[in-house]
Amino acid sequence: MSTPLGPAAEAALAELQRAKIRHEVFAREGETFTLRWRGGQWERRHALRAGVACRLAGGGTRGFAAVAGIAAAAGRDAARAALASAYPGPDPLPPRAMLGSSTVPPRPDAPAAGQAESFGVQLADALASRSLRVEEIRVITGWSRALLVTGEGFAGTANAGGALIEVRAACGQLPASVVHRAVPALSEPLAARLVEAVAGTGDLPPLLAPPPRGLYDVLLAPEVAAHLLLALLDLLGTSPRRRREISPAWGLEDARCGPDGLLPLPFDGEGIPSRRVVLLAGGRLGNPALTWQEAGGIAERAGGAVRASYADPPASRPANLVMAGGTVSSRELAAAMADGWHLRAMAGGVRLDRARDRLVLPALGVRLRAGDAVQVWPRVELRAGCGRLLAALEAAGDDPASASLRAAVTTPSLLFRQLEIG
Amino acid sequence: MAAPDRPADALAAFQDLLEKTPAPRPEDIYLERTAEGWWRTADGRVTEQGVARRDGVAVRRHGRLDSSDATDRVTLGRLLRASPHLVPPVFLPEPPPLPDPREWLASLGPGEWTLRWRWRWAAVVRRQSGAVLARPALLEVEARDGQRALAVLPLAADWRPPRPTVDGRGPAPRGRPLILLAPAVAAALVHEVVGHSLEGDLVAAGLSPLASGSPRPRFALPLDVTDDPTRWDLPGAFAMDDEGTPGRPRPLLRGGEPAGVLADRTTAACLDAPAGSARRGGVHAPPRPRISNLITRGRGSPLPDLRRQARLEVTAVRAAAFDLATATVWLEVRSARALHRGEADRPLPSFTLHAPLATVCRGVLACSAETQATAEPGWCRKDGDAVPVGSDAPWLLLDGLEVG
Repeated sequence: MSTPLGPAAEAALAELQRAKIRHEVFAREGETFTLRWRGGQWERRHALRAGVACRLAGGGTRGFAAVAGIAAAAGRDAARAALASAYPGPDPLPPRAMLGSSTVPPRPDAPAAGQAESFGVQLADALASRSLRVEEIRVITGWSRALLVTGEGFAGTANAGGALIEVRAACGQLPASVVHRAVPALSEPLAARLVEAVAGTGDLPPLLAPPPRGLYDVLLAPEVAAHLLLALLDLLGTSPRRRREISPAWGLEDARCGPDGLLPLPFDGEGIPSRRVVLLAGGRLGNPALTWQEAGGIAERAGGAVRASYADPPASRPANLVMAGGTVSSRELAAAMADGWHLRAMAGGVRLDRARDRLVLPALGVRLRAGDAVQVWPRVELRAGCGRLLAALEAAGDDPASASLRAAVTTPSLLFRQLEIG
Repeated sequence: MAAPDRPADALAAFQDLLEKTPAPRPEDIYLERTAEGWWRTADGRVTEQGVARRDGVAVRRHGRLDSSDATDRVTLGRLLRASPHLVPPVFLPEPPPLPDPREWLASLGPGEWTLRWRWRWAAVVRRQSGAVLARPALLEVEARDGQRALAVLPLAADWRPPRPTVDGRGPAPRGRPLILLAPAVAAALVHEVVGHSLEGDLVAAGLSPLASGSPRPRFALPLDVTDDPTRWDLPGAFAMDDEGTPGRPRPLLRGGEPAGVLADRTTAACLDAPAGSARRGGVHAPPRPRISNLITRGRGSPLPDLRRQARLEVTAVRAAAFDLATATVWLEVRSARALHRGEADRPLPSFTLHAPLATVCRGVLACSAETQATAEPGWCRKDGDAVPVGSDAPWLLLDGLEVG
C-alpha cells in the first residue's frame, strides 16, 4: 500500500490476521477548507479528517470499532477494540466473490484552498455590485480518499472531491433565503449563475397577502427539488408500497457508478462494485440497494452501503441520486402553468409525517400566471402525500444542478400538477 | 522528549510552546478525545453494536481554525507552524471502559431501541492558562418511532425513557386555540426564542430580534430565564467553557425582558458582556456562544387551572426552529391531545404550530408552579455543529400560536 493511509490500515490488518477470523479494514483520509463571510468578516477553517475502522466476523460473533488517526497505533487500536467488543451475531461481511471495483469517470482535481479564496472574493464582489443584502457566503472545498481492504485479498481505493457554495442573501423586501450548489470544480460562470439565482427575485412584485390554501401547479427549482426527492425516498422506504399510479415523467436513479451526478464511486461502503440502481422510472418503482446483511445475501439487492464517515458502519442509503433531465427550459415549464407557484429556494427543513405518508416542504414561492410573476411570498408550504407526488409529476427541465445533502442529488426543475400550497 | 505523565505537565508544555510559535501566534490550542459506544437492541437483546474513538487537535488564530484528527507531532507542528521537534507529545487520557448496556435495557422495556454512550475529554491551552474541560458522560436513547432522550450518566433514579408517540385520529386542530405546553415543549420554545436570540454572535451582528428589535420585545408574563452550565443533572453542563472560562449562570430574561447575552471571548469584548458560554461542536468547529441548560421560572399557577383554560395540550415535539429571517418560531408537534374542561379528550394527529416572535411574547399568559428538568431539545444544531443542551421549565399557557 503506497497511500498515506498505509500505516493505520497495515497495522489493523496485521492485528486482525493474527485473530484468524474474517475481517475488513476501511480507512479514510480527507481535507476540507471552509471560507465563510459573515458580519463583514472572513473566517477560515482547514480540517484534516482521518481514521480507520475494522469489521470482523467469525465463530458466531461480529465486531465493529473505529479510531481516529493515520498512524499505525490507530489501526492497532481499532483492530483490538473490534476484537474486544465482538458480540454474538450473524456475519455481516459480503463474500470475496462479491467484491470489486467499477469504472467511474475521471474527475477534476478538487479545488485547492487558494481557488476557494479567489472564488469567494469574486463572488462577494459580484454580489455587492448587485446591491443585495448578503448575510453569509460559504465556500467549502475538499477531497477524500478511502481504502477498503479485506482479509481475503480485496483492496480498493475510492476518491472524491468537489466544492459546495452557499449564499444567504436577500433582495428587495424579501427576507434572506439560501442558494446552495455542489460542483466538482469552481469557475467564473458558476459565480455569475449564483449571483443570478440570488438576485432573481429582486424585480418581483412587492409582497401581497399570504396565499390562500389551494391546489396549484407547482414548479420546483433544482435545489428545492433535491430536498423533495430525498424526502420522497424516505417516505417510500417507510412502508411496503401497493400498486400505485406513477407518472412516466419520473426517471430517478441512484447512479452510484456515474457517469452522471456529483459523486460516482467505484464500490459501495462494503466493497461491492457500484451500479446504477433504478428507483423510479418507466411508471414503476424500483428497489433501493441495501447493505449485504439487509439484502439477506441476495446479490441483486446488495451494493447500497454508504459510510457517512470512517467511524460509521456501512448503512443502506442512496449515494448519487440523479433525476433525468428533460428538453424544456424552466422558463417554458413556467409558461405552461396557467396559475401556479414557482418554489425558488428552501425556507426551512422538509417535515415528514411517516404515519400519514405525507410531507410538508417550506419554500420561497413566486406566484405565476401564464408564466408571469405576480406575487412573491417568503414562505409557502407545499403539502403532499407520497401517492400524489408519484402521480403528479408532469415534466422535468433541462437545467440540472447538484446539491450535497444527506446524499449527492442532481436534479433539474420539476413541474407537478395540482399540489396543495398553503 | 518523554511523554508527560500528568495532564497538567502536558498543558504546561503546550503553554510553553505557544510562546515560541511564530506570529501570528495562536489564540489557543484545543485537544479532544471522545469515545462513543452504540447498541441496537430488540426486546432486551443487543442485535448490533460498535465503538468509536475520535482524537483531535485544533489551533485557533484570529479568523482561522486549523484542525486535525491526527495528533502526532508532525501534524501538530504543521498546525502550529513550528518544528515537530519543539512539539511535546500529545497527552490524551484513556476513555473509561465501555459500559454494559444491560444496566439500561431493564428500564427501557420491550421494543427496539438504539443506545449511544458518549464520553469526552478536552483541554484548552492559552498563553496564560491551561484547563481540562469537564463535561458529564451522556446516554442517548432513541425509540423506533424516532423519539429521542438525552440523559446525564449515571441515570437519575426517576429517569424514564421517551414515551411512545400516540398516533391521534380525527381532524387536526385549526386556528389559534389556547394551548398548554408540557415542560419539554415549553423548554424547546424558550430554547429557540430566548436562548438562540441572545447568543452573542447574533446579537453582535445585529441579527437578534429579541436584542435589537424596535420596540424591544418584552414577554407579557414576567418570566426569568437563566443559562446555567452548573446544573450537572442536565446534558449541557460544564465547569469551564470551551475557551477555558469558568462556567457561571447567566441571566438572559428578567421579568420578561432581555437581561443578558451568551458570549464567548470575542463577542464578550464587543458587547461588554462576561464570557463563559463558548462551546465547540467538536474539534473541527470553532468555539461560538451557545446555550448550555436553560432554566425558566415564573410566578406559577396551579397546573389544573391552566388545564381548564387550554383547548390543547402539547406533550412532545419532533423539532423546533426559530427562523431569524422572519422572526417566526415553528414547533413540529409529535404528541398532543384535545382538552375539554381540563380533562384529556382525545389524542390528536401531528401538526405544526407557528407564530411571529411578537405574538409569542404577547401570548405567554401563564406558567405552572411546578417545573421539570428535561433533556429537551437534547442536541442543539447551529451552523451544522451540535452540542448537548438541557432545560428546566414549567408548563406554559400560550395564546396566538397558529396551527397549520
